[in-house]
Amino acid sequence: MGKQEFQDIVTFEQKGVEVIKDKKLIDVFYDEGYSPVLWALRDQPLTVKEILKKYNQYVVLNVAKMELSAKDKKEKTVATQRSEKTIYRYLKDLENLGLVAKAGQRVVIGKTATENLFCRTARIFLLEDVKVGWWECEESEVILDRVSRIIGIDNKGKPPEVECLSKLMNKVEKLESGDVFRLLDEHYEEVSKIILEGTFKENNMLLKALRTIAFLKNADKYVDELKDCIG
Amino acid sequence: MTDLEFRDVINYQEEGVMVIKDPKLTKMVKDDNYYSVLWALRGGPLTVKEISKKYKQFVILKVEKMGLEGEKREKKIEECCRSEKTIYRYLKDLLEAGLVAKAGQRVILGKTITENLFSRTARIYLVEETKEGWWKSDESRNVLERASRILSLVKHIPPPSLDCLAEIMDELHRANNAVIVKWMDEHYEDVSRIFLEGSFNENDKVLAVLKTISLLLNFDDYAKKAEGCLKIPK
Repeated sequence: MGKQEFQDIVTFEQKGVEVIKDKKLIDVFYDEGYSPVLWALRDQPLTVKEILKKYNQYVVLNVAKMELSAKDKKEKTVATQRSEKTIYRYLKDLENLGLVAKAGQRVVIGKTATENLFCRTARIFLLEDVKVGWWECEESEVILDRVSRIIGIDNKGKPPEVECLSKLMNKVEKLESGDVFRLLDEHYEEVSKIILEGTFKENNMLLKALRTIAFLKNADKYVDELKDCIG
Repeated sequence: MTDLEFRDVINYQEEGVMVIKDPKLTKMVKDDNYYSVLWALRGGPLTVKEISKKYKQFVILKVEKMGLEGEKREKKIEECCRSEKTIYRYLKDLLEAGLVAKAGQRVILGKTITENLFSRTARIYLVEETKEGWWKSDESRNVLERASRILSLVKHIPPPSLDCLAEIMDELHRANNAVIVKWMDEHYEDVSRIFLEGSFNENDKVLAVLKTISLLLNFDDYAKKAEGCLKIPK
């Protein structure tokens, strides 16, 4: 369908950024069913058909990254792709949760009936995960064990304790995010407006820069902690 | 083709990590065409057919991130995909460069002819970043400008200069990289063995932790630069 064939009338004003603190809402972002819908809507308002197409693309891309056999990948792809009816149901749920909104109408030239457009309620959602972070879960132990051994090689054969590294990485992660959340709480309107100027990709890099500056400003307290870990 | 129908006979052992310093090799690893082949081989040895298939998956992933729609998207995918003949040519170049190796043979049960298997020569390639990166490119200016305005707003300081911010972000990235490259250089065998224990994704996470630790170990230098440049009172 070429650009001349339809016109989008967008009536919803998206926020630049929203901080999500509610655990129920945070879980939605990790939900295999809902998260691809939010991903599909990253860049602009879309119709249900367009969301479905991107949703199923997301599933294919996601499964491609998994370390599964070809057969298992195929099965996983089929199991996680969805129908238009299901996407519509997800959109209703996300609307009720305030994460998605009806953005406007797509007018198809020559047709009387219009199509609904949906969008995210915010350009970026920042999750304030207050529960135990990834660095304190079982899955991270294997990673931290290898890090510990690599540092140990350089450190006269004394590997730092995995538990020590785990606590440190968790604190560093909370520090970086904490500063960003604080600045959003205190200057929401202005920061949100600045974020609305950028694409999703640009905003990701912007957050990276802000987290780095936050780290440089505050991480001195962790330098001693690291030195204690290393011994 | 199910698992029962073929057997892979592998006679090549990849290294855990390879540090890339040669500018020719660096250029190759950063070239989209060659990188896509190396990406396809992340999970282990593959035939040319399988590499072609994964190459296309990588192209789709890449195009998806560009946010193109409809015909433009399809056109871009077609533009970036490669024929099996071209993939074979890329493999030859990568073989000559020492980034890929012939890993063994795929024996299809009941057939006499086998298929060549190719693999990366290292589980991870660490490129020694000596040149300026993304934070000094034109593309980053908009992002730095917004970061500058946000910092000015929340820290009640004059907007930090974009060149200053670019310098910090770029130097941090390169200095971090240099420390890790140095670790690899000095303890190559032992470190390589540890990387061989992990999958590609796991090794990515290991590198992320090492970067944070190297940042903390050299914190004073970076913090002084940031303080001077950003004039943020502690």
